[in-house]
Amino acid sequence: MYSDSVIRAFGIGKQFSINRVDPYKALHDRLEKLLRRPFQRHVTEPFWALSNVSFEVRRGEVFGIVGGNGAGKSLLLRILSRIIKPSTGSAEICGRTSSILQLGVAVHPELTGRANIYQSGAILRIRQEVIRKKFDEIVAFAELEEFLDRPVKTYSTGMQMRLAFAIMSQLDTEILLIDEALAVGDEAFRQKCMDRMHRLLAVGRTVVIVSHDLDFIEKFCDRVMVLQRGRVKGIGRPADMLPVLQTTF
Amino acid sequence: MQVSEVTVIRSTGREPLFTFRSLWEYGDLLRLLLWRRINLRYQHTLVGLGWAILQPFATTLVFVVIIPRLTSAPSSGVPYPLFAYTGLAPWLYFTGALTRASNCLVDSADLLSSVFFPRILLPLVAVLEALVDFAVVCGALMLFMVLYGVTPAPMLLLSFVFVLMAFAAALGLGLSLSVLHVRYRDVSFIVQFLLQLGLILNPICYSIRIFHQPWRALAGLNPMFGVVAGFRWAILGVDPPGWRMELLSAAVALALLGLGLRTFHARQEGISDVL
Repeated sequence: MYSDSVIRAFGIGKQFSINRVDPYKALHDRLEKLLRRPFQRHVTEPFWALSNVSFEVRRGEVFGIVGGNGAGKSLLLRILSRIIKPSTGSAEICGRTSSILQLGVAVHPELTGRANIYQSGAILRIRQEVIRKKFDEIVAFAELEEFLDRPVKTYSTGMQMRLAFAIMSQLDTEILLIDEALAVGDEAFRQKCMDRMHRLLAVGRTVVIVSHDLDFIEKFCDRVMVLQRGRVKGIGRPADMLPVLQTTF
Repeated sequence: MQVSEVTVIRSTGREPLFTFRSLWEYGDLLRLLLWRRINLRYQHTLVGLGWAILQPFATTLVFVVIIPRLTSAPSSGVPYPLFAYTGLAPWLYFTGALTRASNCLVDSADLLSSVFFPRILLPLVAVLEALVDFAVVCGALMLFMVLYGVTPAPMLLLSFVFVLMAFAAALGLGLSLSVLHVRYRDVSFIVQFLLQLGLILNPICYSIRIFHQPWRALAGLNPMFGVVAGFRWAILGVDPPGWRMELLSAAVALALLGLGLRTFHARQEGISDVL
């Protein structure tokens, strides 16, 4: 155990049950089943998308999560963001977290850029007057001045990501959870995000980032955790994890 | 840097529906969501206002044309259009609130699957939003009464109690149905069907006097029966519903609210698994 860890996860697991017999979606289907075969039991197949995942993230570090498709990386971030409840285990998070899950989903497509900034702030429990003060800074960082009053669904993916990153990085949260978000956006903006993140890290913020990009992981992360089919294959410095990575990919 | 808070995520135990602290902290979000919905509806003021009162006016018009031809339209000495409209007002509030509340989680799927916030905010916003339409409908009701030269009953203020009952019933049912809707997509059809029946099953286009005791009191098992009868009595002073029916309706409305809170509490953490 580290003394300066901001995230401690113990034995996190998530089980989904897949109903093989009747994956019904409608209430009337279920009633019909009940009338026709009242004594048939539900047959569900448990599926562990994550099992026994334990790790710690230290203050001020960049913690990478890597693994192939279906390794459970994004699910883990969702659990840490309290969107999905784990089936086993527990986690302690010290400080506020903001997350950018999937491309641009942190922003709401029907709302304008302006409304999104205020809504994201409210979700992070930041007072509206604080957001008002930071508003111009966020807009300037995202470089979206002239698109501010258009719905976000009219933005390109890159623009959505810029907005999401601008909001999340400007509002003061101690921990940033980022899922693949930096994969889009052009080189210039990517560089800007990196600079911004380095500055955040310098003042003690912590970043947890999911990525497929091994190059990026190697350059940017202090430590990485390798996941394979929901299990931890190893945690360590990127250089030490490369052999493990090669066997998993 | 000081640590502002520690979040503990557990696999066991349930997240509380809300705490006073979370209500305070997420107050801005509640206001923002509510304001956005209202704004969207009333952005073009005339259309928004018009739409809010079109439904009760059109339905009243249909009643006015049809019902007197069927019977002698016992409206207890009040002009029949006013009689029917007054009954329709709380019913349409309930309809709007329940429809919005039962759809609220499915409609906000992307918000629910990307950020954490107390889930109960969404049905709460739905039921509160419908109150704005109701206020507009009541404004038209007052105008209506002035035009007909009808003075409000002395127990006018009691109408708040009945609105509160409708609020509790709509929120309670809405909480249960919204989480069911996440799993079963045909819930919205069932809701629409029940609401259609409710237009006739509640004493909107007719007087409660067509039911004799003890059936009248027993009709209070349908909480909206008590709400519609009570609201009309409080505003127009006709057809006193009797305290037995009202107590029964209030009890059922509270029971629905309790059941809804329980169901929502038990199921709220599974919402994102299915969406």
